[in-house]
Amino acid sequence: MTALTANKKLRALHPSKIVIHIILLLCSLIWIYPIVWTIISSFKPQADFFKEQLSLIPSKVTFENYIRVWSKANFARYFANSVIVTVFSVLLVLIMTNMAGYVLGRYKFVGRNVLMAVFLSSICIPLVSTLIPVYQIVKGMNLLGTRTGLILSGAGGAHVVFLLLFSSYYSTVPNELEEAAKIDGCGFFKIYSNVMFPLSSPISTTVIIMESLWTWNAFQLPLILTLNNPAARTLAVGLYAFKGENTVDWTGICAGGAIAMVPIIVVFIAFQKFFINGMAGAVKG
Amino acid sequence: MSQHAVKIRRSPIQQKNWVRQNLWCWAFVSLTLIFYLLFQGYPILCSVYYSLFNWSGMTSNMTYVGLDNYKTLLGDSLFWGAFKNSFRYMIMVVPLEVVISLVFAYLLNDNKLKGRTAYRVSLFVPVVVTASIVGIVMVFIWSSNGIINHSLSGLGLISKNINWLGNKKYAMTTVVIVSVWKDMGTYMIYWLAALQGVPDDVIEAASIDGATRTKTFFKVVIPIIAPTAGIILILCTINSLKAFDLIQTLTGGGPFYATDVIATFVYRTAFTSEMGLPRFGYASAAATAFGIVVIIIGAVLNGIKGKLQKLQ
Amino acid sequence: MKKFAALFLSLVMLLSVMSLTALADEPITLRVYDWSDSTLAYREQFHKEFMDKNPDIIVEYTQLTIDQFNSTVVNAIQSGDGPDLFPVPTTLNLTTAVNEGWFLDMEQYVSKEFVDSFTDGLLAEGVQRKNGVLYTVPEAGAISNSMIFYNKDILAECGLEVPSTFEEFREACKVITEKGAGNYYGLIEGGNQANRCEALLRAFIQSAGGKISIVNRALTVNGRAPYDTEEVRKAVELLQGIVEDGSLYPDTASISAPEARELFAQGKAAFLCQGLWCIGTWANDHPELNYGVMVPPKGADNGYVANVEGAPWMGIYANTKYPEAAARYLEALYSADEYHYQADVVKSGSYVSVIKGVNEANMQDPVMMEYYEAASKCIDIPIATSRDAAFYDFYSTVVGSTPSLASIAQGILSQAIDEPMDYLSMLSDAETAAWQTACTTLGIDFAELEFDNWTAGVPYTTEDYAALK
Repeated sequence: MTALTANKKLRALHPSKIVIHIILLLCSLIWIYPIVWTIISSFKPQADFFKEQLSLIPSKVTFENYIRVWSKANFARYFANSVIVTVFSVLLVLIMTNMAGYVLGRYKFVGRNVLMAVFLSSICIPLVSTLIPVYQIVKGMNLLGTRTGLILSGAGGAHVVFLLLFSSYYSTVPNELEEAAKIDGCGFFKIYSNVMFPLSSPISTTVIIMESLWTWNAFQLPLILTLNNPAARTLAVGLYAFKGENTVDWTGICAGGAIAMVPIIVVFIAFQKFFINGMAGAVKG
Repeated sequence: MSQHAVKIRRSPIQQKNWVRQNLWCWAFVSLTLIFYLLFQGYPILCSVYYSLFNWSGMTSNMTYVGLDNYKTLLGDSLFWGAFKNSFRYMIMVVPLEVVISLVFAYLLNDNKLKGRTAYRVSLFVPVVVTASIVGIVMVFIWSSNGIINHSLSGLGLISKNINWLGNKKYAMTTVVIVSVWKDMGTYMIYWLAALQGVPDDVIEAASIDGATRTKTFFKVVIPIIAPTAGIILILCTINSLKAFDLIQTLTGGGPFYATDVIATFVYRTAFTSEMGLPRFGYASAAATAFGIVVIIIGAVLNGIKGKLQKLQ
Repeated sequence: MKKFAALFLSLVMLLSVMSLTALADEPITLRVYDWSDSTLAYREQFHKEFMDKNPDIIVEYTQLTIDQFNSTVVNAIQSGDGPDLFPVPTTLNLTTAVNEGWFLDMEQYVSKEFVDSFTDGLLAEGVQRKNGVLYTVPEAGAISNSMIFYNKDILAECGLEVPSTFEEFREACKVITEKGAGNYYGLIEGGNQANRCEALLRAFIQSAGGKISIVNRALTVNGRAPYDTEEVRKAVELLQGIVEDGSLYPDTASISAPEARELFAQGKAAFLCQGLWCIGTWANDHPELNYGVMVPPKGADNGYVANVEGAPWMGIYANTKYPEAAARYLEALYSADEYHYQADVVKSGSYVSVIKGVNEANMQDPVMMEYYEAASKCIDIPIATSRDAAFYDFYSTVVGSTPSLASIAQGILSQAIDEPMDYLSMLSDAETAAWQTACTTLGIDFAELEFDNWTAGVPYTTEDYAALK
């Protein structure tokens, strides 16, 4: 046994490891408690919701909330819309921001700083007052009440974040890779597509997760854009219907929320593993 | 930055390459630029335009008033209250979110840690839940007979149950705690992506040299992730200044404006009213004024970040 | 490169395929939008029946909250894309909506029987009509929404009579809270909603004999907005007292009105100030609840409860493609015989109907009748628009002061304000100035907001209006 592996074995039993586990376990439990509470509440009968507020074990388990959500929120339809809108928004945003982040991070081209400043300044304005102009634009493009309209306006959302992430990441890629590609005869675009783009997988994965999330949960803009065509509405808009002017369907909201959470959690788990493997592979290679 | 500014004269071939490169760069940003102009740039300009009018947003009666809205803003104590609260909120939220997420990311960056995926998912899940649902759920959790009061009195920390969100003294702190709980996962992911960029051999080298994990962290890891750290800090700051969905559903800005931030102020002014009509033009002025302040702050922070990078 | 191109091309193809939304020939779709969530179940039943009997119409009903309506549908209407049937937003009056050209002349499309079926005097000028033209119809009978519900079981358990004065009320709340020992409290309210807090405060101001307008309206007393008068002080002291005694349900500040209603029904508090709509919900969800209705306790002998104004509700969109279908919808919705919506909402105790004869035939819930009776004790108070129709424009022009009465009321209930009277004085100053400005802009005489011959507690009649001139 070498000194290194002996060291590692000792570290595996180190009390600090146990402490770390305790901290992580405790924090994880606290972090997921409200969500667990929501999911369990979604199985409580509506009438018992207030009486059994605190309990995590419902006295009666019922699926009536889910059934109600399914029909009232037109679940199947809205869910499909949400998926379509999210998938295409994410693809669009990924390509857009990856390409732009690449040149913003690695090349000093004419107008780069101005462009960067303009993009950055845009995320400082609260979105509330931009709803009306966006509505006018989508209307002008004749895309009101269509999924395409939702995709395009969703892709126009606040992804300056991703620009920053990509540009910062790309700026740290060593020049040698680029030089090697040039020697191989790659032009500007080929350098990007063959060498750079694949390298960006950790950031790309992050972007996919974040943008999926943002689009999936967005409701203010989709609400205003799909007023005329309920068939194009997304799940988040449909769920909003559970809070009315004089009534609140608490258990319905919990059920709806639970349904909305599951796909995104799945996306997260799926992509999270991918980027871990990707990184491990990149390091070995 | 991989390229230095080319000075003065270039040979014809260099000139041709330079032009081609610039064209390629612009081609690459074109898609983003188009979407930006259409869905953000133009709407922001519209917003600034509206701020120059006395407009309810509901009727076609738009009267040009120039900078009157801004003058009124200067004397509006509720606007300044919201302004102060926005910064109070930011100052409380940002350090907590950035540091806590970094700690978790660092702990979870260990490939050999058992249950890593489960921890990651648990800590990230709150990010996934829609804000409106979080608001409703949290009102129950923080209510007088909710779990928080239950636990705190069980531990003997408080003698009488407190309605955290409805109490002027505690509302803001409670909102901050809920925000950190909800958004921490996002920043944790960003930190993880940054930490994954730290090569394993560098860490190994440090540990062979006898450095403890903490020392490795501060002397080796942090310098490497510094550029991304700068971005995360800026993002967190700016996002916290724009906070809306969660605060709106938790307290609506109450009790009596204790948690009123600029976004809730703008929303309330633009779409609701008691007597008379809502005031969309005035709300746009508030949004624009605040936006300008945030831009200035962002520019200052960016400048600081640039200076720090140069010192590397 | 090839992979990239292929991906890009398929993306473009998919996008273009999706944007082709070919619509086959269908029966017409009638779009109806509102926020009447408390009668949703009956409405949906009605829609089923309506569509069965009218196979050429599909009803697309969307329900939003008032805020969502204000921030989305108004935009659509202004762009020419409005729904076929929608209500006037609560922040507007009919005059403004008509000036904006949102509605068409309903009588061109509905039958005379329909118009005549409404209780006399309801389709009044200024409220549903403008210059004689009928634009909108009311949703329900205008009935005060500030009655006090009380839990009979709790009162009996504490050996209390129904309180009729401020002192009795405060004392009752105190005794109940002590007896309850954390299980129930005296008063509960939806403190999260500023409008409910304001309704409570105004109700107490009026029952203390204070001269104050109904909500969102302007009246002056001695040339000033009456928010810091002696009666207001009494009402504020009552509320503050209840809060300081600890008799207010602890979570009040952060619960919504529906939550407060639910908690009341579970016996968590003895008193709740809300409106008629609670009855229908409680009949469904909590038939075991043993409760009664009373007018707010009096703070003075001349304490009163003011009648509320009728409000314009649904009209037919001026740019609709299907005015006849829209008219048919309205006729069916308000029908007393062929369809059952009106009967259903009255039977369930949700609304008082505006159609002749429906209330008499269908009101059966004993508590609803109690409420109806309590509300019939309400009296008319002066209304500025009845004196001078120019005030309709006033309400579109005036800029409300903040913090408003609603916010201050909310602050009192959440104990976030130490000296409410200070804020109320500032409010009175600010509102007086704002009202003067609006009057000057429109060329209205500010003095018209003053009603010298109004005695608090005495019904204000048409003769009184005439005597003003």
